[in-house]
Amino acid sequence: MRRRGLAYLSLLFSASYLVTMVLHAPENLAGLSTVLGTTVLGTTVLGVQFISALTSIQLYLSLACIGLLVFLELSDPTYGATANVAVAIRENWLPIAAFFVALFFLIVGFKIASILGF
Amino acid sequence: MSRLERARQLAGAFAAATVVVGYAGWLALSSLLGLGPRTLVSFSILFVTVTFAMSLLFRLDRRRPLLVVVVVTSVLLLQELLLSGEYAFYGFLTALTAMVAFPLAGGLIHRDKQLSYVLQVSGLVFASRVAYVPFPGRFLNISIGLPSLYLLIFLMCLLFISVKKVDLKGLGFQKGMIPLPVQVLTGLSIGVLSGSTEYILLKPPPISPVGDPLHFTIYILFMMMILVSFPEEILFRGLLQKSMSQVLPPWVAIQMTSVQFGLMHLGWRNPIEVLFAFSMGLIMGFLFWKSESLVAPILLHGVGNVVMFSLASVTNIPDGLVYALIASSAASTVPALYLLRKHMPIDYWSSSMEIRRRREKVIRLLEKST
Repeated sequence: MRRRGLAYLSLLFSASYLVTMVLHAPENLAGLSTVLGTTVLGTTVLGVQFISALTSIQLYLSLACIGLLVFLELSDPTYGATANVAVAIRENWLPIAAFFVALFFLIVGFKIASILGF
Repeated sequence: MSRLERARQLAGAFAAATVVVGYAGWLALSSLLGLGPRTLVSFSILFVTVTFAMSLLFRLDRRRPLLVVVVVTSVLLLQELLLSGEYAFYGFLTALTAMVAFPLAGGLIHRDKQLSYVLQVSGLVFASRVAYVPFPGRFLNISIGLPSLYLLIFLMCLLFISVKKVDLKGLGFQKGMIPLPVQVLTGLSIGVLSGSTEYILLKPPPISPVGDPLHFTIYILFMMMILVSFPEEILFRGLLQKSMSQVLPPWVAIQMTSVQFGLMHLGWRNPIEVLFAFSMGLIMGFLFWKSESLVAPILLHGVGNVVMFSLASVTNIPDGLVYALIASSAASTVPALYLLRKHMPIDYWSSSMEIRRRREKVIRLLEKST
């Protein structure tokens, strides 16, 4: 039941994302985020510092991703007895590590796209 | 519910209202003197300090969870101030560190499961900023940029829900305690009211859509009703408020979640927008608390955004028309609120913590008798 609910939710979200992709809103809708107060912060301050900060922080994100993956590997209970605290931290970091891996692949993807000139 | 408890909760509600009115007065005064970056920083610090002081004043017996929420909110305030200023890099670094550090702290206090859960969920709030990191600047400036960003925020929520096996019903994906038509009516009417009020408060520069108007409308509807509302409401109401209400009284949880929701709007560099988001957070939090469903908050959030953007896309719209829209939506809100009050659970002021305490007392008595 829970899995089905999550699947429906993901389906709805993916379909909506595809719709916005296919529609390709006019170029001036890029200003969308500067108009809507309800959207997240960053787009309202897309200045030079913001853009350069995005590039600089990618290195730290990649390092954090590697660190988390190493910790997850070392604290794997199949290697033997693991302290309760380590298990608790491992459980808490698992979704974050998965998220960071997704972000890491996106970073790599965008880098490749920029090298290929897309 | 004891008289003391009731008095305390009424005092809490009164305090929240006083805070909003107080800020409004302070803002009116500072706008007369001229709003600048210093006003924004001083407002933000005052905003967080006073709201927490109010909560602490009325709930001294919950110091530990409150302290945790204070720390999380202070870090969020720091991050938002850095991001909206010239130190965006340090803002991102703060977000990245907090996203890893709060779940780590949650792991260290794993014996206190509820507080540990609050810390884990708090880490997710910072994910909405970390989600910007992989995108090149130019990508964020095209129309697909914002949907992609929200797709990542949604992905993070989905990962958390899956790994932590969070119950979807508990998250608010259910019909809830109030009839569905009443929830829909409330969400729609307050949504239109909030969108038009926000437009009047912010007066954004007009955007004139080009191309097919149908495409434009569909894009806005999907973008605002699903891609923006769903992740934000799942994050702030379904996860954050729900987790806080396990360790704090519900009205304090609503207040604290709304403070964080308001702070996330600091990028506007406009204290009125922060205050507006805070007030809307209080309303959406209250609706979620009473209905135990995300239907009304998601509708309210989405419709508010759609109305606000639609008004902004109409060039030279007369103020009189917007005021007429505000008046008509306010009029439709009255029957919606009446119906809401009528169908609200009878135990109006009691908190889920108190219900749990009562339930535990009954179980103890039953165990004794057997």
